[in-house]
Amino acid sequence: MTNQQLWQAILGNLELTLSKANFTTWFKNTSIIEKNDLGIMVGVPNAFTKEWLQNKYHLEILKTLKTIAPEIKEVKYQIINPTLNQPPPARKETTRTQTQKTENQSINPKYTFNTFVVGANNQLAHAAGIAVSKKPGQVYNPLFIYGGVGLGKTHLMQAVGNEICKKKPDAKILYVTSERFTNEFVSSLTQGKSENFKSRYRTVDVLLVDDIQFLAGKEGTQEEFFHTFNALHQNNKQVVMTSDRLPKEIPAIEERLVSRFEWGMIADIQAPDLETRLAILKTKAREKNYDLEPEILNFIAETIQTNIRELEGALNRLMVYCQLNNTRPTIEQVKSVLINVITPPKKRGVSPKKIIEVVADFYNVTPEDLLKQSRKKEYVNPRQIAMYIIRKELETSLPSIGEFFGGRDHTTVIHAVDKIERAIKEKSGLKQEIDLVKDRIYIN
Amino acid sequence: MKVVCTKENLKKGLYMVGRVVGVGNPLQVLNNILIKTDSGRVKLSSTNLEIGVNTWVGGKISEEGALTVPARIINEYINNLPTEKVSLSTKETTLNLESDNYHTNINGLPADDFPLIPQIKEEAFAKVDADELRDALSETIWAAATNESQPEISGIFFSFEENKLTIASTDRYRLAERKCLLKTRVREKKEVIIPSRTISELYKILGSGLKDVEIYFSESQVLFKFNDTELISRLIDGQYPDYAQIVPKEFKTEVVVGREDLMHALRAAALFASESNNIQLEAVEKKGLVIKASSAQAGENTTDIQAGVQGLNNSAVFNHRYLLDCLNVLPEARVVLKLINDNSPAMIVPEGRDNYLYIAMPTKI
Repeated sequence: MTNQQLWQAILGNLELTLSKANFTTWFKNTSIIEKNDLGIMVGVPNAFTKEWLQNKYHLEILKTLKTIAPEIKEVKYQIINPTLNQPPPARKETTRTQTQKTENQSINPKYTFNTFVVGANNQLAHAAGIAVSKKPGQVYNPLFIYGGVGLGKTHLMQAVGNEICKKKPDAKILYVTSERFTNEFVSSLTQGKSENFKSRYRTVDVLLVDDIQFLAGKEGTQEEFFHTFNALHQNNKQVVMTSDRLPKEIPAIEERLVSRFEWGMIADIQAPDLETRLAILKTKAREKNYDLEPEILNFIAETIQTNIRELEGALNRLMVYCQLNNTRPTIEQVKSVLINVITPPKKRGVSPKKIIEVVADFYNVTPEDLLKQSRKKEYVNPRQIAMYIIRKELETSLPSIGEFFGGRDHTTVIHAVDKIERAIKEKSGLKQEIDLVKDRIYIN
Repeated sequence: MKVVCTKENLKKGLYMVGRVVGVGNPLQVLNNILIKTDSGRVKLSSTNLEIGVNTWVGGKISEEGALTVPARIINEYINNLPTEKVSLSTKETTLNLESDNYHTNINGLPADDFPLIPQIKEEAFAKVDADELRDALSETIWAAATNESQPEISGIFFSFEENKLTIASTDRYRLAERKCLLKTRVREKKEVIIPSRTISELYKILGSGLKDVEIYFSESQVLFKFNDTELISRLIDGQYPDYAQIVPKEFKTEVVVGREDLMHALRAAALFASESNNIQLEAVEKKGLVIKASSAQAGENTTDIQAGVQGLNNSAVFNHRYLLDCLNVLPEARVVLKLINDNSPAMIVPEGRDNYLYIAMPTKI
């Protein structure tokens, strides 16, 4: 049992015997900071807590400890610096002004067009975004942005919001994720306040909806969104949406919504090319006031190819490492620092079962559908994709893949892998789809 | 518990402890004041788990006991009471107050639930004159950073060495430093950072007419003790910036100017300063000091002040607040303003006193 688990177990027990106010006041920010054979050292945030635990709760803590870890006989308390555990307070001023303008949904002010690096991969989306922010509701309505994970969809969308906000400070701009839209809709129904919900969404000037693909399969929410959309569109209010794929490819979403999504402008964001990646790195480094040799930036840009978030993560990691050690990095150091980022320990924890689950989820079928003998078209394609991914990612042998999919012959698997490989070359959309599935497999 | 107190004593005591009580804390007892008989006197305590205050007031005790009652209620009640004496008694968790024609029962909470205010058992580390400390605090504490993202500079720096105490605060754009004499030599050099909130609390309850303030330290706590009151607080962990290296040693221009004159001129200019509070200061030999401000909306202002200028002609742009904050608290009639150029720190010191200095960075435009 780790220290944290042990302390959680103790807290779990104590929580039952104490009032909530007592519990949160005295046990907030406490932890076990040291443990040896005989005793534990409990870190507490201040002297008041130390006195109180020592004098009032000591016996109870000991008693609980005895039932969980009988070998420990002694508990001591020590004051640790509380500021280390607390996240720094949010920058109040910027968020305050922002929230006034944008209702309670904050658009992050750091996402602007100025900080968005334009390359061949996102030119179209960027241009569309600028056009929309110049004349909201008049050109390209709705604007639909799609692209893979960490390529800047949210950045671009929020930049549209920020730009409009700058031009017309009194415009009502609402930014929601589709998940939040769903949650608010559901809770407005349960609380009988659907009028509030409607008026909130239908009176905005600009509606920004992130990750619209999560509306898939939620019929009630889709209908509400349909009406919201119509109301806004009719009044020439701008709607911007993002998704990880084309409207047509979002499964289980109503036809009438799909046709509306395709109404205005659909812009895609692809993975950035080397030059763009380099430009992004340079911008980020400048933002953080951090000066790096060009070779090092080159190295990072060459090794991390698909995801901008990873690119930034690698840069941050490098900065922290250098600040801690107070050195300027050499290319060798960079390699060792970034080893985990560059070759992530991907394969760990990924099993054929997990891949099948993710694929099934992605195409909105059940894992059983993939394993059973049905040859319906909507099962066959995901099944073949699952086989393909298992083969390519895990390098599992053909017969055992067949075995896994309900005792199919290995030639079936060969056929599936060949077919998908061919299809990838022919249809560009499929590659993106498979990349998305892979992203999901490794994210969780 | 059965106690009789004069209203004045009780009021004074409650004033001391009433300010640090938590407000709206989910743990009810933290919104309360502890009233307790303690070796022939009445002890009042309050805490917000960061700062704790104990104070003792005189009274006639006929039965020992203790109870906690909501701070706001007892404070306002006693303040409002027109009578001279109050007798307090407890029955379970109710505090009964009898005073002539006023009869009151306040619902309280058991004293056992009240947080234990940590004790410091060490000997007093240092001793300083109360008025001296009060003056020193008034000249420094406002310069600390209000943002807690850098905890070190959000506190006030106390450095003890031999028979000197140096108090400093900075927010990276300005710095105030004051030296005080201690009553005794300290046994070792010590540097601590004390939260601003603690110090401003201390400043408020350090009334005049007190004698000495004793300062105690333990592992991570500081205790100030004066007359019948103790204030205890946590310390901020961290390393205070080594500010001595940014204090310039030599200046190009020195201006001796009337403090009031300068303040009037700055306040006038402030009305016309741009949004960033910028005003321009120009020192001209033989002529004096020229203060200028202009903004597109409001208009512009120029004030000439007679002042003794020594050295080169010089000019720099400052945030007028940074200058006024300092001028506001100095008691002297004249101050010395020292400049290097429009890009280096400027210094203000009171004329004829060498235990105080204030540094402000000019604004770059």
